[in-house]
Amino acid sequence: MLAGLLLLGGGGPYDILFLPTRAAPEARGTARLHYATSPFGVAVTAEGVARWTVRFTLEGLPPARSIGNAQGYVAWAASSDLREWDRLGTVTNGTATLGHVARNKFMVVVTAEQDTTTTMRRGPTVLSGISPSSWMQPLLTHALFRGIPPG
Amino acid sequence: MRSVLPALALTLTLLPTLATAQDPGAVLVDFDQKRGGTENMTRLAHVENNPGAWKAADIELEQDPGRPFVYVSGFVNYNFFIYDLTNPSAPRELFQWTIEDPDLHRGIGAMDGKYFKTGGRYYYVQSFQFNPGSPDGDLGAVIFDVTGLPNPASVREVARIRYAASPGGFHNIFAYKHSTGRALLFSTIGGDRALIWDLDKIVSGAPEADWLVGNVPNPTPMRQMGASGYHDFYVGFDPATNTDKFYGAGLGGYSTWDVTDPAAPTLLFTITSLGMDLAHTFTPSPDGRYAVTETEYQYTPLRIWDLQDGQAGRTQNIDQPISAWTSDWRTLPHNHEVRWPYVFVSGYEDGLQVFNLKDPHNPESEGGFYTCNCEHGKGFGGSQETGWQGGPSVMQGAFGVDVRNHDGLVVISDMRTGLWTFRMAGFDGWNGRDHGVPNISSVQDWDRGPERSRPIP
Repeated sequence: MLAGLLLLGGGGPYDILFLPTRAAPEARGTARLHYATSPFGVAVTAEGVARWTVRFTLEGLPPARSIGNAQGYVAWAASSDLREWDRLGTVTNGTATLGHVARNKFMVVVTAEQDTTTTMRRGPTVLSGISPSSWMQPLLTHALFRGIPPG
Repeated sequence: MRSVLPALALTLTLLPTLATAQDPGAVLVDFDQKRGGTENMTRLAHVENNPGAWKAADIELEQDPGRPFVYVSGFVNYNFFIYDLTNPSAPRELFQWTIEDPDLHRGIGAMDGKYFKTGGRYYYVQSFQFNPGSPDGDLGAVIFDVTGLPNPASVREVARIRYAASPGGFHNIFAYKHSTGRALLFSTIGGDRALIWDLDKIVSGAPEADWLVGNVPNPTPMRQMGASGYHDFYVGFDPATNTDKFYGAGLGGYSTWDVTDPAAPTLLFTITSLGMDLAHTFTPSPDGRYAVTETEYQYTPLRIWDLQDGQAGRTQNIDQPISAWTSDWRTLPHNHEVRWPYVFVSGYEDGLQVFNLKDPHNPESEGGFYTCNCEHGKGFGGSQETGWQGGPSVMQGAFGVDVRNHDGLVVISDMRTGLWTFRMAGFDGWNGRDHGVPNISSVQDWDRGPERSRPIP
């Protein structure tokens, strides 16, 4: 297993780089994980899972109504198998700090929703990113396997 | 003092002859001139199956004359396509399937596909590679019932093979009609072995715990990179010994195993030597006497080996190839299909290339066709975040190749440009017996099993 940090060409172990989808190809952004407020400095759940707030920095999101007549954008944290979704809150171009995520590995997803108060993901995905804890990859899927240095 | 003039005159006379004898070979084609092909290679069709920079990984032809179908793995598009090649000059798209929520998946996606037949029905198995942390990080392959083709509505998913113990999926698979009559699937994983799955049990709905029936350890890992698994393999019957044999490319070298008992494979011999880094593909001749291997780094040619001493048990390791071939020393050949004495190569930037091993010590180019039409050195790499572009790479162009034995149709799946179909002059089909070898290739006889010592009709 090799760390995927080199593959991302920058960013630290608390940063998530978003990939746009065909629904919003010009959308860009990153998210930075901050430990949730805690009297102990490092915030963890009773089970020992790190607990985060997520600071979004987004740009290039088109008007939501241009995507299936959506009313706005909603950010989610999802388990890696997509079975569990946690609503984080609404986002727009610019910065926003939302919370909380308490998973070892997870995805952060932004969707265009007709109802921005929804607690269930329904709309198309416009941005997605994986947690830094998901960067470790098997060699066979790694660019380095192909004999070239990354970046 | 003796005059030197006679010697000088003799030298000048012989100079042209000497120069010819030291001819370094054909002039290389400039990279920006790599268009079209040789006179003996006819391009029938070209189809761009996916939009975007990366279109396809591997390719699989069905072999029954009444089923003119080809399957193209869609690579980082996380899909695959089925085309009807009733008219090979006009492939007709029949069916397309994409993983659910493709936008949320990470990985190199749909890599390799194989068809098989069992219980009177036809199936297609598509391998996938998704990263751990991505959805379906444990997914290795999805199996579809394709018996009803060309009716696309008849295609239905029947099973998904997952292997959570080694996330990252299956890079390559090989469907094999075992000498016992079982339909087996060999798969790579990130770990230090290849897995053997019982396809009959999978498609019949047997409990998942019964699907995995064996594994083949990798005795030649690439230690310097901690790469312990196989990259690819070929499985074929050896009529001389009546055994099923596994030829594995294990990233640090190659190995041959007796897999007549899939639950207990036996190592026969290895190929290890200098320069075997990233040992990638290993294909024997129909009789197992010779083999073609590839190592996945720029500048390396395909190597040809004489396996006789290994097959006869006279040596445990072979370390000297007998010859080598490449179309352009500056690039890299990728996968290949052996139809002895011909070797059909998916040659990355050099597209389809064919050479012959009539004399295995002196491979000769037969012809080819450039399919990449790409800028040299701007191949696959980097990461999903960089659009799969990184530093210099020649990994682009022709990824997969397949040959249809009954009529000689050749297909290429090109990472950059998609599906291509070809005919090579004078190659109207292949049967090993026409060339004095067993009728054994990557093509399986799903109805009768591997050719044993049957009388020639």
